Amino acid sequence: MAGFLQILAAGITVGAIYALIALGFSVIYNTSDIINFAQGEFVMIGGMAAVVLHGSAHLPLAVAVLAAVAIAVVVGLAVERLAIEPVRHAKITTLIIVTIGVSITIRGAVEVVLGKNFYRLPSFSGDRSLDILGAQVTPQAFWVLGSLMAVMAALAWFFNLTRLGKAMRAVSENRLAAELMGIDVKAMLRLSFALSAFLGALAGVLTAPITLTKYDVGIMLGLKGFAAAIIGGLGTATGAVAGGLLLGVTEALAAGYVSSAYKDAVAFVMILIVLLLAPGGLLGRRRAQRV
Amino acid sequence: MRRRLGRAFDSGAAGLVLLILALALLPLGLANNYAYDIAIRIGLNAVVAVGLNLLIGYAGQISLGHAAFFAIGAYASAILTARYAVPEPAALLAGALMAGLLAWAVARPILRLSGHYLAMATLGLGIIVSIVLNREVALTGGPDGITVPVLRLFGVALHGQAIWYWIVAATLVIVVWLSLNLMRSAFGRGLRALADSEIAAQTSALDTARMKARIFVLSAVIAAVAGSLFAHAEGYVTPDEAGFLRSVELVTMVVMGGMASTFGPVLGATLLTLLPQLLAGFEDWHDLLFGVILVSTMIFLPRGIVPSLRERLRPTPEAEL
Amino acid sequence: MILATENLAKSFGGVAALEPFSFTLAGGITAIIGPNGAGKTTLFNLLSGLYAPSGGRIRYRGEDITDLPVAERARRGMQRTFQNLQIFFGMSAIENVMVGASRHLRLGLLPALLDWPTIRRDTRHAREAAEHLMRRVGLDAYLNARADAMPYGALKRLEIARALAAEPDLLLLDEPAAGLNPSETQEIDRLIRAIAEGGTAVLLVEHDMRLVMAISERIIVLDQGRPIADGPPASIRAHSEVIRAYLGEAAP
Repeated sequence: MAGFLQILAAGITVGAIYALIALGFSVIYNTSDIINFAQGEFVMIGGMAAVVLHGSAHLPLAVAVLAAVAIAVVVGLAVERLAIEPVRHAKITTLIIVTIGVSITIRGAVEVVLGKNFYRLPSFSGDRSLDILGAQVTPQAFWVLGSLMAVMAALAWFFNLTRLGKAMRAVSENRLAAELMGIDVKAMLRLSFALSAFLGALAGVLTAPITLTKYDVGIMLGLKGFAAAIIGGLGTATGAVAGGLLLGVTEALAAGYVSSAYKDAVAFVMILIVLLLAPGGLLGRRRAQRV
Repeated sequence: MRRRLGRAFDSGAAGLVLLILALALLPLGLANNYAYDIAIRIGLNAVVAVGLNLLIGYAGQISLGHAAFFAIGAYASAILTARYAVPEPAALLAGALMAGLLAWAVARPILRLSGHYLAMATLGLGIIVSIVLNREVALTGGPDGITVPVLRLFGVALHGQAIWYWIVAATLVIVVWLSLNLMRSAFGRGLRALADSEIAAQTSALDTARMKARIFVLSAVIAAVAGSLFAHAEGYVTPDEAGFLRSVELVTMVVMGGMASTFGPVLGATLLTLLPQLLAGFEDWHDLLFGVILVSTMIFLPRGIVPSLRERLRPTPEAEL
Repeated sequence: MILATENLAKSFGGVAALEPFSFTLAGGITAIIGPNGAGKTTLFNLLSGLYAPSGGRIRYRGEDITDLPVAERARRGMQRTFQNLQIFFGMSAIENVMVGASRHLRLGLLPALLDWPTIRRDTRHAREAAEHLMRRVGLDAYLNARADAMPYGALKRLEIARALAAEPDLLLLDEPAAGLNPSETQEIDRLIRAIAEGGTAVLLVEHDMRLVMAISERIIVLDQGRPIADGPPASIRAHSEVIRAYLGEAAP
């Protein structure tokens, strides 16, 4: 039983990371119908920047973490301005390839500066595990889960109770109407990238102490976060979180009880199943086409 | 006379002749085995890219997992010839068949999707294949890959890069010819139509689901054939050939060189295969440069290099080369 | 009897867009009119196969086509144009029309790849026929043009040419005169008459009352998903319910 709970705990922790990344995807997708394949790189920047700021520049961990997230937000805004805005109205294929290109560029830049080594970020509150019903849970796991819950609350407040948040929601419901009502759609797009980068980088700094970080961690994390978003239903916050947790737990269970070699395949098998049976995802929205 | 020349250009015949000439004369400039290696690599990438272009450029779909089909062909050839002494041509056919069957099995359900969902589904498929190739160590040699014996045809060992150069060149010419033919036909027009408006294409009595599936299978088979040739020419295959990054590279070749243009992908394959060579000594910079080139091309030349150039030179083209 | 529907109905999530609707069409030019939301485009989408009905059957030339997909109906000679242009913008104008003839062409992949002589012949014929059609609808000026370089009025006619390339028995025209100026509308008038004279049954949805009254032999009026009148133009003009439906009040 302890073994099962251990696996469950690990799965929920990873799942929370996926959920944060998936939320990032959803925010941008909701505002603009764009899937940002570079989302994973925001995660990577968060972790790597924190390592550099803390390890090389010797900033206190808390400062390094916050600064890393801020750096990612700046990068997100730069990406939106330089790479997304020029092609905002292009075909989907073009957009997909542009964001893939952005992801490769960011990864390449980090590779040039920091090489291909693994880097470690210290855990936020040390490494002494707590014993929960027989499962060993690290303090970092609590940070992850706590952050997810804080983020969910903050997003709920933001989107439901602030003017800016409601404006973003308006854009996602009906762009034309929002524009006609005087909402600056371009600014909303910029904001969505900033917010998405924030969420991604947050995931990055939270997970770096657990899984180590490297110039190319963004690829798999981004893809899995995207998988989580699709599984739960692209475009809804609850879907992103549900998808993330479901993916994390399924992955952990599969690795623990079926085969650890195929752990990475779980996300993609689940994607295929969801896409082929219910493309809208478990909780997602459907968009129709008018003739 | 001018109209007939123009017609020849439009039908791609001129381009094909130029390609044959270029391929025939190229060896004069290849100084050593290494140069041949690169030329072969370019040729194989071009073969895959021309096939992939049928799906992406003409039919308007997308596949972020095509490297998987290339790898299936490569591994089929490698395993069957190395372990089971299957004759090489049979192994190549087997690889093509396997890739074709996989593509056929997933084509209809996957191609019902579009846009991001299709991208993700093909990506998922590609990654699953790549993971399987990595993990099934007993079958595939795992991450270390598998060595491929020298190709023997009628008892004669086909050694040396020169022979492979000609085999690959011939394959490229054939695939380009097939592609030009296809695009000139009613089926080809139908593909381009369904890329623009699937609904109107159906209203024009086109069975779009079946056409998409067939072109998906065709492009998969072409990739597998290239993979088989690669296995023998290179002598070695690893699971990296199936990876997501390889799939992205292939899509980039198509998109950058020019979608909806048979020669565009050839150009794209050439440029992108040469890129690492130009950066010898600066391997770390490859990804960064590749990414910048990719983004810039999509922003400034969204239709790719060849169509954008063509637009400058001839303002009213008809059937695309 | 070219077309017959039996209690054809469509609801979207509990809202009835079309109440069970039965009618038959023998030929000639029939117009379907009605205020917005009356169910006209829904009817067209049901007939051409874009929507699956919530109930009822459709018979086309005696055959029950209710469960047939769009392409199959097109293969049997039913063609349509679209309210929101569905032109193949990546192709030239003439190629658009050539695609329209697809139901007569051989579409095997292998022959196409190998450039068999039959394929080449098909293309040659298709091009000649397309050229002929473009001239017929008055698009001579655009024979060498790209679809994305043509003005709106020409594109509307291009869509019709594309539909005609299939030599349809039944042509569904969805607002052919929408967005056209009076002289362009006159051309459409002439064109539709010529098409009907050629033996093709025409069913059109249209808001331009002058055009409708001028060319239709029969007018069906829909309002809120059900028919409220069905007859020749003269009888519709004076029909009180029709007037009420459009103006929302009793006729003066």
